[in-house]
Amino acid sequence: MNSVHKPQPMTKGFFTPGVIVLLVLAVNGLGFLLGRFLFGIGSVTNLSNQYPWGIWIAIDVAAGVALAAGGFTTAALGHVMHREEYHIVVRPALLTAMLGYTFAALAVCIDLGRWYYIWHPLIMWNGTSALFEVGMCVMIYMMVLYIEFLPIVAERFIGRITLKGVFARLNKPLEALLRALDRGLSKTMFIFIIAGVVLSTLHQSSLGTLMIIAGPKVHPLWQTPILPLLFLLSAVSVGYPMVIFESMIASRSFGLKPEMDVLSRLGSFMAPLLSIYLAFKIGDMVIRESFMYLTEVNTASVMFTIEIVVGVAIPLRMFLSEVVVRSRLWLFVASCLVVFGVLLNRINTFVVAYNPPYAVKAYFPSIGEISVTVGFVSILVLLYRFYVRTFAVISIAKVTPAARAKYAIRGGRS
Amino acid sequence: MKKKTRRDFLKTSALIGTAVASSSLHPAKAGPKNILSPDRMGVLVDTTVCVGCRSCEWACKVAHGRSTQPLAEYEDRSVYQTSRRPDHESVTVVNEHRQEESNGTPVYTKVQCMHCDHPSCVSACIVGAFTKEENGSVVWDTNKCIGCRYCMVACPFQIPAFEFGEALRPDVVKCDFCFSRTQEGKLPACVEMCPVEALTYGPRTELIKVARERIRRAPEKYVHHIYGETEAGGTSWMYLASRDFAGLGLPNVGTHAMPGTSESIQHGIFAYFIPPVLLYAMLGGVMWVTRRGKESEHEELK
Amino acid sequence: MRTILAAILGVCVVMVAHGQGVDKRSHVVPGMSCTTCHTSEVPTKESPSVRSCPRTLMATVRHSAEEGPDVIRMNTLSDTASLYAPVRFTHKAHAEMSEMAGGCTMCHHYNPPGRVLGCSECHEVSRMRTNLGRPDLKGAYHQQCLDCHKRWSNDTGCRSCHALRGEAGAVVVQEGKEQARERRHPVVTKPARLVRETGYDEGRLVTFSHNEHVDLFGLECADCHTSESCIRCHEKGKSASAQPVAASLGHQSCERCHNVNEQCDRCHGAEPKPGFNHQRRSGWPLRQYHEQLDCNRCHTKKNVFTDLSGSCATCHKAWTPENFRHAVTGLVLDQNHAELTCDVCHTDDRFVAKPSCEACHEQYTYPQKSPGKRVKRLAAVRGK
Repeated sequence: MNSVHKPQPMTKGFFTPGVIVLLVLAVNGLGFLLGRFLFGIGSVTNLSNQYPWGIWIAIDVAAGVALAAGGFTTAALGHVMHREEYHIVVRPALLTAMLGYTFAALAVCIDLGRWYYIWHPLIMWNGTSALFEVGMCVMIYMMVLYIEFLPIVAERFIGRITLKGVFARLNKPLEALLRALDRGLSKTMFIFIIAGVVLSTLHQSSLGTLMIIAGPKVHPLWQTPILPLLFLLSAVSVGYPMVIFESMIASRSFGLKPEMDVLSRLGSFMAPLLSIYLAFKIGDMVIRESFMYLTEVNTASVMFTIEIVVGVAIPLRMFLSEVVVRSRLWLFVASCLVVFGVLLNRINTFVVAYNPPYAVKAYFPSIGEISVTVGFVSILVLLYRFYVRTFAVISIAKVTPAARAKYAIRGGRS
Repeated sequence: MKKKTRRDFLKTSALIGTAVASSSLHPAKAGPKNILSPDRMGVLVDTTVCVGCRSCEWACKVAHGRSTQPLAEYEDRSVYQTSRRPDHESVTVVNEHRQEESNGTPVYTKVQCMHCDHPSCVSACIVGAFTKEENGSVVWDTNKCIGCRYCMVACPFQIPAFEFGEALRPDVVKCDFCFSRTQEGKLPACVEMCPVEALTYGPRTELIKVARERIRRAPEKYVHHIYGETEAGGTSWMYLASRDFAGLGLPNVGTHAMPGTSESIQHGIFAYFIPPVLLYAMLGGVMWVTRRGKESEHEELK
Repeated sequence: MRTILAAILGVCVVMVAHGQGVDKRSHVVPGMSCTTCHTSEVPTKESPSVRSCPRTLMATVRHSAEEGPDVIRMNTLSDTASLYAPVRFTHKAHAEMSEMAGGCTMCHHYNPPGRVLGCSECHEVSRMRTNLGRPDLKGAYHQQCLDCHKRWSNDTGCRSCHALRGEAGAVVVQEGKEQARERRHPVVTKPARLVRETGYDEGRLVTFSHNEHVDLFGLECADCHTSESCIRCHEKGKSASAQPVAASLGHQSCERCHNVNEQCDRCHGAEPKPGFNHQRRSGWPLRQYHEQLDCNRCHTKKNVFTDLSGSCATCHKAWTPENFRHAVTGLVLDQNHAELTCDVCHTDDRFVAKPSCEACHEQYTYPQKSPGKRVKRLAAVRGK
C-alpha cells in the first residue's frame, strides 16, 4: 500500500503565546528544582516519614510512564502486526514515549535523595525488588527508544553535516558514521522494536507491583495482587487515546488537518481494550469484596468512583458509539477522559490510597512539588515542539503520492 | 534497500535469543544477604513492666554517637503529651498510652525497627542496601543506598526515616539492633540500659518460651498473644501487653510476610527469564508471519 | 546450704533443659514432699515427671515485720559511674505495709522452706545470661519496687528511690541511716462502726462494727484485709487519703465466719444495728467474770462462733454440785444455804434466771434478801 503521507519537519514558528506561558512555567519549576538540590527534598516538598512518595513519583514517574505507553502500543500495531496504515502515528508516538521516559527518569533522579548514585542499580542488583525491575527495564527501554529514534536523526543529518572551522574535518567521518548506523539499524531494528514491546509489558506491570509490598498501607479499593495486570491493561488502554490526544493538539497547533481516518480507526480499538480493563477492575473488586468500601463516603471511595466512572465507564460508552469515533470533538473528549482516568488511577494508587498507620496529617503536594511537575510537563511540551520542528516526525498529507520515506524506522518494507 | 532477507531475520533472532538465554543463566543472584538463621536473636518487650523512663532512648543515642541532652533530663514527662515516631534523630522512642475513662496506670510502648524475619525493606530495596544478618539484625548500608525511599513505602511498621532536610547525602535511618555492639559480644544499648529489664535479649525461640511462661504464670495480667511471634511473618522484636495491641500503637499487620505476594509475582514474571523470552519469541513470530503476508502481497503486486 | 537451695530453684529449668535427674541427696529438702515437684512418687532419672514449677507452694516465708532487717542498702550493683546512688531500702517499713497484703511473699516470692532468701541469691547480676526466664538483679529490683510504686503514685521517677550522685560519684543527698531506720508506717486508725447504704429497699443498711470485730472478737487486720495494695489508701498522691478503705465489698469477707445466705438480719436492716450484745444474741447474758473474757476463751474455735449449751460444765468441766464452791460467784453461802442442792434456788439449769427463794421463804426475793455474804470475787477465790 502506498503511503500518501510523508513525515517532515514542521515549519511554523516556534514562539506562540502558549509557548511563552510554558517557558514561564518551566523556569518556575526549575527554580524550585534548584531549591531541592541546594536545601534537600524536605525544603520544597511536603514529603515526610509518613508519606515518603508524593506526586513526583505518582504523576511524573508512574503516570508519565503509563501515558508514554503509546510508544509501544503503536509500535506493536504498526511494526509487529505490520499494519502499515498506522505508520503515520508511530513517529509521534515514539517521540512522545522517548520524551516521556526521559522525563520520568529525570523525575526519579530528582526524587532520589542521592541522585548521583542513580547508576547503582546497574551494578547492585536485587532481584526481589519490583523497583529494581522497573528501574532496569525503564533504563533499557529508554536506550531502545533512543535507538529507534536514531534513524530519524540520521535522516535529518545525512548529507547535511556542515560543521565550520576546526570541526570541518569531522564532517566526513560523522557522515560515514551516520550512514553506517543507519544501515546497521535498518537491518536490526526489528530486534529493538520487539525488545521495546517486551520491556514495556514488563515494567508497565511492575509499576503496579511496586505498591503490592506496601500491603495494608494501600487502601483495599486499590490494593490487589492483580495490580500489575491492571497497570498493564490500563497502560495498553491509554496508549491510543494518548496518541489521539497528542495528534489532535499537534494538528491544531501547527494548523494541520487531523488524520481522522487513522485516529478513528485507533478509536475503534478502544471499546474492547477499555472493556477488558473495566472487566478486570470490577471482577477484582467483586472477588475481593472491596466494593463494600464504596458504601462509605470518603476521599478514597469518591476518588475511586470518579476514576472508574469518568475515567473508564463513560469513555467506554462513548467509544462504542460510531458517532463519537467519527467526530473530531467527541473522539478528542473521549480520549481525554481515558487519559484523565489513567492519570487519576496512578495518583490514586500512589498517593490517595496510601494510608500509613501513623499518619499525623494527610499529604497534599506543596507548591514546590506542583511547580516542578508542571515545569517538567512544560519542558516536555516545548521539547516536543522543538523536535517536530527539527525532525521529520509528523506526517503531512501529500496531494501527489510521494516517494516512500527513505529511512524508515521500521523493519524494512519491500 | 531496507530489504532484509528472511535469513537475516532468523540469523539475528537466533543471536539475540542466545544472548538473552545465556544472560538468564545468571539471574539476579547478586541479591542482598537475607539470612533466616534458626539461632537469630530477638528482644522481648514486656510493656507491663516498662515504666517509661526513656533511658533506652538516651542509651541508643549515646551508643550511636548522636548528640543528646543529659540523662537526667529524660525524666521530663511532658514529651508524652504527643505521640512520637522514630525519626532521623531518634531511632527509638517510647510512647505513653493512657487508658480511656480510667485512671489506671498508663502503658508505655517502645517503638523501633521490628527486625522482621522476612523484611519488606530487604525485599524492596532497589540496590539491596538492606541485609538481614545471621543474628537477626536488619542493617542498612550507606554505601549502596540511593535514597529512593521505597523501603519506607514497603515497611509495614513505618519505621525507616529519611533525612529530608539533607541536601547532599541524606541517610535512611533506622534501628540497627546495635549490630556493631552485638558483633563484639555486647548487648544492644537499650537492652543494657533498661533499669526494669522490660527488654529481654536472647535467642528468639527462647524468648517465645519465656513469653508463653509469663502469660501462663499471670494469665490475668496479659493479653494472651505475643505480638511479633507471627505478625508480618514474624519479627525479632516481640511484645507482651496487658491490653489490646492496636491501642498501643502496634498495628494489625496480619500474619503474612509482607514481601510474599510481590516476590511471588516477581518470580512468576521472571522465572529464569522464561516468560519474557517466550513473549519475545512470540512477538518475533507474529512479526515474521505478518511480514510474510505483506511480502507475498507485494510480490503479487509486482 | 546455698548450693542446695540453688539446686531447688533451678530444678525445673535444669531438669527440663537437660532431661536428666538431679542427685537425690542434693535436692531433698526437709519439710517438702517429693510430690511438690514430681507427679510420680518415684521419679527416676529417665522419667523425672516434673510438674510445672509450683512456686506458690514453695513460698513459705511468714515472719513478722520485726524479725527482718530494718534497712537494707542495696549496693550489689553500685556503680560510681552511674547517675544514681544505691537505694537505702526501708525493709521494716515495707514489711509492715505488706502485712495487710500478701505478706513477705509479696517480695520473697519464691522461697523454699528454710532460710529467707535475698534477691541476689537467685537473680543474676549479669544481664547477658542463659536463663532468660528470670529477670537479672537490676531488673528484679526495679520490677519488684515499681510494680507497687507505679500503681501507688504513678511516680516512677528514679529520684523517688535513688539519691543523685554528684561529682566524682559522691552521693549528694541521702537520708541518713538512722533516719531511714525510723521510717515506719504510721499507725492505721481503725473505724468504730460502719454503716453502709446498700441501695436495696429490703435490708437497706448494713451495719458493721469494726471495733467489735477487732477488739471483742479478736480478728487480726490481715484476716479480712488480705490484699490491700498501697494504692487502696494512697490515692495518686503520696499522702494517705481521708477516704475510708474497705477490706472488700460484698459478702466475701464476712462469709468466712457468717452464714451470709440465711442470717441476713444480722447485718442488714432498715435501721443501723446496735452493737453486739451476748444476751440478745444467745439469750445468755455475760455478767461479772464472763464479761471480761475474750470470746475465744469459751468459743475456742478461732473465727467460728459456735453456740454453746449454756451449761457451766461446757467450760468448767471440773465443776460438780459436790465440789462447787459458791464463792467464785462473789457470794459466800451461809451455813443453812450451803447445804442445799443447786436446784432449790436456781430454777433453770443454765443458771441464767434470777434465783428464787420461794421454795422456803414465801416473802423473800433475791437480791433484797441474800442467802449469804457478798465478797470480792477474786479475794474469795484466793482466800480459799
